[in-house]
Amino acid sequence: MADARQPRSGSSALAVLGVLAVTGLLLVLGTWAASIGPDDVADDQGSADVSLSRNTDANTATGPRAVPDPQPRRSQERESSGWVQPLATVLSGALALLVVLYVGRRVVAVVRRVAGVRRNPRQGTPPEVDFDTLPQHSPAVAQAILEDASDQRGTLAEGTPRHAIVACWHRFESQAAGVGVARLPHETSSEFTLRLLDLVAADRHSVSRLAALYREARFSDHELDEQARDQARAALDDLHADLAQRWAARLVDRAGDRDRVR
Amino acid sequence: MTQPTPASTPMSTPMSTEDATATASRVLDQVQQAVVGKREPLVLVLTALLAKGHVLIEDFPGLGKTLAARSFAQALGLDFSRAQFTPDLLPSDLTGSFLYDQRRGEFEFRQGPLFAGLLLADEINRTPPKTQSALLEAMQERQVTVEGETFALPDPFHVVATANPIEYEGTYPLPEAQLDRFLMRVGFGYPSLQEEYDVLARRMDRGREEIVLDQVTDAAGLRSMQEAVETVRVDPSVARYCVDVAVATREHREVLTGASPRGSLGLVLAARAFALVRGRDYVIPEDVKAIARPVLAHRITIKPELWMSASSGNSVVGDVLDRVATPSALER
Repeated sequence: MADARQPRSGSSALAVLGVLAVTGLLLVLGTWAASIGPDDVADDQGSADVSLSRNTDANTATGPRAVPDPQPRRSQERESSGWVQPLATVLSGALALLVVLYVGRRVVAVVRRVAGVRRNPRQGTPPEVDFDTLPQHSPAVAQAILEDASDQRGTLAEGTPRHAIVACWHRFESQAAGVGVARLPHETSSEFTLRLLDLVAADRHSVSRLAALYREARFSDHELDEQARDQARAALDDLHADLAQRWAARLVDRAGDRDRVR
Repeated sequence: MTQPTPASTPMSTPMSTEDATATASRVLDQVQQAVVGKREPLVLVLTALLAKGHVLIEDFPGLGKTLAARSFAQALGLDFSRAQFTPDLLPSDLTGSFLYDQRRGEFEFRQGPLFAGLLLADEINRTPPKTQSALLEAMQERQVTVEGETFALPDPFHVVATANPIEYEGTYPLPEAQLDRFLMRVGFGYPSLQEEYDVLARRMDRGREEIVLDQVTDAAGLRSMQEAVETVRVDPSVARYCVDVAVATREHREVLTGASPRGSLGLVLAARAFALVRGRDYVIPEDVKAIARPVLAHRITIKPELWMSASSGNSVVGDVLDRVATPSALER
C-alpha cells in the first residue's frame, strides 16, 4: 500500500515544481516588462517616432493647433525612471534566486526520499514479527514497579485500610511517573490503568481489582475493613508475581547491558 | 387559580443499590428484545429516566426511536401516550381541554396525552414554538394550567422526544434554551450487519408486527429506583470536576454559549444514575466522562463562523474532557 503511494507523491511533487517554476518565470517577466515600459517591450529600438494617430489641422479661426512634440516627455520619463530599472533588476534577480533555491531544495528532498525508499522500501513501518511486541517504555516501568514492590507492600500495611489503599495506588502512579509514564491530568484511574496495562502487559485481573479497590476507597463512604486491605494486598502480590515472571528474562538482559557499558 | 393537587403518590422507600441495579439490568434486557443491540444508548436513556430527566432522541428515521420509547414504557410499567407533533398541533391538544357535559350541565376537563407516565413526543421539531413551549413548560413544572386551573401530572412523568436531524424544511428547531430542558440527547446510530439481520430474523420468528414485552416493574418501582439514585454518593472532588467540565465548555474557543449551571447539575444527576446502573452507590470520574457528551453536547452553541466546520457540541465536550483534570489520587 505504501509502495503504491510513492509514484503518486513523486508526480505530485513534480507538478508542484512545475507550477512554481512557471509562476516564477512569469513574475520575472512581469517585473522586467513593468520596469522598461510598454514601448520597449514591443520594440526596444525606439518606436517614439511612430505615431498611430495623424495630426490634423483644426478647421477653426484660430488656425492650425500647435501639437507638442512627444519626444521631450519621453526623455523626461526616462530620466525620472532611471532608478526604477536597477531596482527592478535587483528585485527580479533576488526573486529568481529564491525560486531557484526553493526548487533546488525540493528536488534534493524528492531525490533523497526516492533514494531512501529504493534502499529500504519498508522504512518507517515496524518490521512484522510472529509474536506480540511490547511498547517502548515497558522495561523501565516494569523494573520500577518490581524494585519498589516491598516498599509498596509496606505502604499498604500502614494506617487505616482506606488510606492505605489510596496511598498504595498513589505509589503505583508515582513509580510509573518516575520513569516518564505519568498519569495525565485528564486521565481517570481506569484510563491510566489501561495504558499501564498496555505498557507492561500486566495481569489485567489483578490491576483491575486493585483499581476498583482504589476507586471505592477514594470516592465512596463505605466502611473499608481489614478484608479490603487483604484483598488489595493479594491483588498487589499477584501483580508483582506476574510482572516478575513476565519480565525476568528481559530485565536480566538489561542489567547485563548496563554492566557492559560501565 | 387552583393550587396544584399534590402528587397522589407518597415519597417512596429507596430501593437497595443491588436491587435497583438488578431491576435496571432486567429492564434493559427486556427492551433489548425489541431494540436489537444498542445497549449503550439504551443505558443512557434508562439513566436519564432514573435521574428523573427527559430524553431527546435525535437520529435518522427507522432506527428504533419510537420503538425504544414504547418498549421502555412497557418494561417500566408506565402509562404510555404518543403525540405526533405536526404543524397544526395546538397546546390544548397536548394538555387537554374543558368540554361541556350536556347531561350534567357543566364543563369537565378531558386530559390530553401529557397525562401519562411516559409521553413520546414524536418529531418534536415539526410543531410551532407555541406548542413546543407548552410541552417544555409541562416538562419543567410537571403540571399544566388550563383555563386558570392547574393540574399536576402523574409521578413519574417523563418525556421521550424524537427529532430527525435531516429534512429541516417545514420544521421549527428547538432553541438552545429549550434544549436545555432535556437531560440528555441520545443518538442510536445504524445497527451493525449482524444486528440488522437479527431485526429481520426476530420479526419473521414473531410472525406479527407488534412486540409485547414483560413488565419488569411499575410506576412505584421506578419511583423507588429514583429514590435509590438520590442516595448515591458524590465525592466533593467529583462534583467539582463536573463544574470544571461545564465551565470549560463556556471558555472553549469554538463556543458561543457553553453549558449552563443546569448543565453541571445534569452532569451530577446523570452520573449518579449511571453509577447505580453500573452497580455502585458512589460516583467515580469515569461515570462523569461516560455521560458528559449526551448531557452537555446539546447545551453548547458553536460560533457561527464555525458552522461549516467539523466543530460540534460533541467535539467540544470531547476536547474539554481531554483537558480538564480529573480528581487526583490524594485529595481526600
